[in-house]
Amino acid sequence: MAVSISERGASELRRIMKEQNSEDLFLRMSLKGGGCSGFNYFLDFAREPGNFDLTFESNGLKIVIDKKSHLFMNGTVLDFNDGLIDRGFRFNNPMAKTSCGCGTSFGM
Amino acid sequence: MSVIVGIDLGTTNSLVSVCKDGVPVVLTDADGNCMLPSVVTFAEDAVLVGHEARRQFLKYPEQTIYSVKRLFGKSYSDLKDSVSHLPFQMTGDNSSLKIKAGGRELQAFEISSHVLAKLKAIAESSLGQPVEKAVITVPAWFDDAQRNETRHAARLANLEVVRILNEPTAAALAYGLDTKKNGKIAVYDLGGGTFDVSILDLCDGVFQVLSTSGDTFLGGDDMDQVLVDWIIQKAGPDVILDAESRIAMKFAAEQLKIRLTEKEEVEVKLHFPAKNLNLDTVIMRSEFEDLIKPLIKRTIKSCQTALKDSGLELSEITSVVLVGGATRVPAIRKAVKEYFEKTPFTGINPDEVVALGASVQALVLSGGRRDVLLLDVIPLSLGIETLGGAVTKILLRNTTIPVSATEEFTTSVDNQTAITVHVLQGERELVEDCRSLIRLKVKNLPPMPAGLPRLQVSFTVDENGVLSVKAMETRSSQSASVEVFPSIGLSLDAVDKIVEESIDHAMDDFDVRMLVELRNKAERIIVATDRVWVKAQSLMSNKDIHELETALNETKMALKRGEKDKEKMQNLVDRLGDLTRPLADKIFTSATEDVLVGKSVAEI
Repeated sequence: MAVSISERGASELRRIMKEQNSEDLFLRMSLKGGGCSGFNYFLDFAREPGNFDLTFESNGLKIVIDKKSHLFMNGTVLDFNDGLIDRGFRFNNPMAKTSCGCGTSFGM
Repeated sequence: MSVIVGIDLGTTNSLVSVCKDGVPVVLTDADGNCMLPSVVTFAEDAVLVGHEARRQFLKYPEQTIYSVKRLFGKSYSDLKDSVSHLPFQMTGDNSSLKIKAGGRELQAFEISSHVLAKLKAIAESSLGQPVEKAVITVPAWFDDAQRNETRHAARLANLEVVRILNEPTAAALAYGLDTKKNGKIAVYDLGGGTFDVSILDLCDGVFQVLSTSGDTFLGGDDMDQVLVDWIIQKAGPDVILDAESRIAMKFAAEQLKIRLTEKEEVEVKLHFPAKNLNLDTVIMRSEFEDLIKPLIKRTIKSCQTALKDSGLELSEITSVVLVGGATRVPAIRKAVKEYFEKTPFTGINPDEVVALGASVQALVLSGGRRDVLLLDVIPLSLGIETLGGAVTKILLRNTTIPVSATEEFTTSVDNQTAITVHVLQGERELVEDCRSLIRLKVKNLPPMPAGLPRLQVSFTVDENGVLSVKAMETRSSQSASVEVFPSIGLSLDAVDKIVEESIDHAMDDFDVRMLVELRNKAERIIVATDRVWVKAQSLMSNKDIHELETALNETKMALKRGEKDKEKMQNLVDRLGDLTRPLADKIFTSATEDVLVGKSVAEI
């Protein structure tokens, strides 16, 4: 299993990376305790993977995720909702039992 | 293997440090003191050193010797007006210097050896093993005679000197700057009574002193004196100025200086009726800064000289390091930053940084491996303690520096007048499994119901890896801030171990974290429901009330017995949520009606 990015997610990311001149960077996915349902998702760009990181490729983008976050995000697909309301990235995490309305926080 | 300690043999205070598991720490005496005053008293039947000696100063003023480092490598004829203010008696000629104390004539190194012997004893009892070797620091401008006198002192104290290390180099080592391989470093060292600035060249990990400048009679004590003068002026002409009142004022001035470092405004209350000293006023930090401006100017002038002598341009300086307790004064930090156009390193306690660097050098000389983490990313996550003993991370591991992040928090108890922000480092979910870095307190909050205060917590990690934490309650504008250097005491191995542990415990930690969040949520619902309980009676059916009451009681009991089953807690919270949601709707509607009833549309 792995984490991946949907087509829509990838094209939005490519747009942002081009805008920021950061096309050769990794997308870092992680999570941290807190938020309305227990844990929050987190996105960032990274120059290179560190120790304890896993790397994946999806839709032409390089993803890095630390092993701990991966334990709870295995199978997650990062999607982008391009509608006018609720516009933004969403994490579709098959391991999440509860998730909050904002879609950036979850519980298990 | 025999241990090598690092010693900062200072003019005013001395410290001993050692690397434990690659991490430099300052050793303390039985009373927990890090700093040993470099003072020796030759009493009738014993030689007293450090705090004991200082306490006896008034009893044996002529037998108590201090600042002896100033006399290293000097002959009697070298002594000009500059050192003649020292109150003890000296003799000698153009090749020797003897200090009269305890009925004997002693050389400077013989007196210093008592300080070194005391430091050796502190290290031995702290480490539980004999200590025979040391790295000892000296000012960069010490000549051969002065360095030799330092060696003599050590030999007399039964310490083998494995290296004499320059103080600015030690400070740079403490910050791990050697791992950057190359650079030009300015070290600004403002101690109690002396000021030194040095420019170092770091080439392939080796330090060379390019230039030094300074003032052998300028330091924190001069700032105290400026404040004493200010007190005398404020106290008026009737105050009796004798030794006793001067000592009291000097002590008060030192405290004032320390408090002005933390606060913008400090009350000055001095009541000493016997000396006609009755002062009840306020001093602003800006006033103090104006008073010490000439002193700061003198130090910056020395910086200019040192830079000129080094042959470097200002833009070539890559790092600036602050040493000495007086560099805690904000105006000094600001002046140094402005002059060098660089944020100085300040994360390590400036009183300890030289001693810590000496033990880093000792570790390297003993063949030990050392890692200092000067990375371009944050090696371990940084966060704060939140309700229920959880850690909420604000900056995640592996984030590229410099970086800044702000999150908002609130209180869970009514009428809190202070909020403590506990800063932690690590990857685990609970406070007890993370490393405590520092606590800061936002005080003087007006009493507010729980949940109303808005505490903005900002974490900034600068290019040096120094973490600044600022906490501000935005409704009252009360704030507190602090700086720490989270990489001190961290090796790559230690970081790896911490991350591995967090992966091993990930599942358990996750459950514990969820449980904490569920408990917090349950508490919140209970408190909120209690608040509207009376009103609820008229809005809900008896059956619903009864059901809600049962659910509340069950949840309260689960909390009381510290329910550890996550599923059970989740079910209780879900049920409470389902039962209270209609109540919340009804309360909202009734509140709206209360506002609207009896009013025409036009009035709304």
